[in-house]
Amino acid sequence: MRLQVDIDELLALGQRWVELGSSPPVTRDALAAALRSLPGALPGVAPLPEGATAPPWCHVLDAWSSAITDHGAALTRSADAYRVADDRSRVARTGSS
Amino acid sequence: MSLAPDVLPSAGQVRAADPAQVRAAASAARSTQRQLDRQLRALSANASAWAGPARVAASTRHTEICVVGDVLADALGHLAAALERVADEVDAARHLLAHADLLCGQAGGHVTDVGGIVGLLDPGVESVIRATVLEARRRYAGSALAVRQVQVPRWWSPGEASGGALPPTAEDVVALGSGESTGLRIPEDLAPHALATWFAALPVTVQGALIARQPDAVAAAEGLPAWAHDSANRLRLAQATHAAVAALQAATTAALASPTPIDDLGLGALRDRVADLEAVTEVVQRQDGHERQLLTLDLTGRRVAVAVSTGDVDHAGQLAVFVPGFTVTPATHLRGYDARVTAASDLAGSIDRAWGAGAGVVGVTWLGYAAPQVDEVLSRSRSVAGRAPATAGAARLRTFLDGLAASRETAQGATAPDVTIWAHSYGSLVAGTMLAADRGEVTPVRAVVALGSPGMGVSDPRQLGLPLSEIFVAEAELDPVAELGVFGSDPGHWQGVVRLETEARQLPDGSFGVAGRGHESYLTPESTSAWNLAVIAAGRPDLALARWRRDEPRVLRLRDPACRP
Repeated sequence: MRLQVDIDELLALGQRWVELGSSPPVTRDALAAALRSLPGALPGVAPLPEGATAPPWCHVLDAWSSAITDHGAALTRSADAYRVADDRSRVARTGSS
Repeated sequence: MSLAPDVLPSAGQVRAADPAQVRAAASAARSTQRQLDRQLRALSANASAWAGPARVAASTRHTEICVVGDVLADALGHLAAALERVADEVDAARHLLAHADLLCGQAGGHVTDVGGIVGLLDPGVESVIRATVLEARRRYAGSALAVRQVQVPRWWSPGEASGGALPPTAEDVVALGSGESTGLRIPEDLAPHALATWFAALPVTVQGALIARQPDAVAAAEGLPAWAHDSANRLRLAQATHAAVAALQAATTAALASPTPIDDLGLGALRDRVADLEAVTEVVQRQDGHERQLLTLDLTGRRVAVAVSTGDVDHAGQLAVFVPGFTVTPATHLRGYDARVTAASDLAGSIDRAWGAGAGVVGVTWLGYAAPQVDEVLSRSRSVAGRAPATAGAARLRTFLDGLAASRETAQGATAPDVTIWAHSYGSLVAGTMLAADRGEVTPVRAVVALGSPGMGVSDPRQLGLPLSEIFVAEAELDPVAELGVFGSDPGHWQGVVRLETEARQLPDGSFGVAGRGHESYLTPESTSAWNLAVIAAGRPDLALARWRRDEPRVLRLRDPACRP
């Protein structure tokens, strides 16, 4: 069976996703710090609703970054699996000829 | 908000508040939103040359992640906007307190940090100062109300129960090509309100998985939020365009090799399909600062049925839904109507901000029904001279509006949007048929404007089920369709409804509205007619310019020499 996969491109794609998901979360940290400062900026108004606090935003932003990274890692693993399958297939073809 | 003085923040706390820091938080939220947008653009640029089931599985997961990213970016935008409103309210409270401080100082006293007033030499001003301080403290106490509406998208994590509906994981991608399914399905037997509740309870990751794996089902499910319909329909648009272009190329190749005349091979229908889809793609990708939503994309008919909004329908306070008429198709009319609806709803938005509730106005270009076409005039079931296309269109319009209302009322804990219908030509028969059928009891419509109407299908405007003060009629000079009155009685002759001005007039905002001429003039930017449409959509019909010249010899208009070829 001929594989319809460009393994090098798949590897590059996986690497790109991993890089995007792992890029330094500068704005995420800045957002968390800014939200944590809100109670001090609004004395007497606290407690603020959960939507204006840092923990849920950090959780969801981290989870999104992880999803990107995980997808990239899965693509890379798939490319490796394809490569192994391709090599075995070639060996098998060589062996039978 | 009315809190007793003893539970309000003190004057000292109002003084100590730091609106600049709140604005910094809003700015951080915007920056994070922009970073997410950049990431999304980078992810969507991942073209791939590999093919097969593996690629389908991987790209489905890719789509899910991007849908979730879109939701996160939107939510961050809402957080930023809410924080900006908080900062504005804090500023306003501090200005009030500063005013009280000034008055008190001029009278020889000062306002203490707990809100007391001491040392006044002129007791006559004490009540004014006390009331101002109290109002400042109340306003400050209510400043955080805006952020109560902010919702952080709920994330599902592996190991967490989710009603048996698990989102795909990285392992799904490892099992490339296995054709595995999560098993989650859109329920088919739920009414829009129940469906809205069901969908809103899902984690955002599962919502994204549903959209990516079952875009057709999501698109057809009335009651889901507009963002979900938009995401699903954009996927379907890309797939349908790809398929239609391929089909046209194949048919063209076959036709060139065939002895049969090309016109007999259905190439015209394929060309129409491609042209419709290309027009939809162009409009939803317009880069003019409006975040359009593709609310409807129906590919089952002879022509594509579509509805495109000019902004975020899920959060709009008011909607203006434009319903067009005879000969309308996406290929021929969507680009132009979208541009004019966008301009008119932008005007409505600025009127709403200046003189209205400030809840925001979004326009919808609704080509969601099979408008009668020229080559269908002789068809009993499709002719523009009959009511059948309008009856079918009315049912679809009702379903569309009910779905929007269900999503808003149930899923977001908010009220249904305030809907105005701008109904043009045969589209006014569609709107009239819908309103008369449920007499305003089911479908949430506040007002209707009939533009160049040949009749709304009723003989008496009271049959539409709306207050007469919310029924508006515009008939421009040199519009022969407006004179027809073939479906029920002529709206231009109705007693008690408001007939709108379409001539050149000075407008309430000081600008000058240009006159409209002819059947397609009603949405012309900077016209008196467009002003009238905008103020009605903004909930300020008192700013509309009415025309009541019932003794006008209307037949003369049709005899105007300029009207003749």
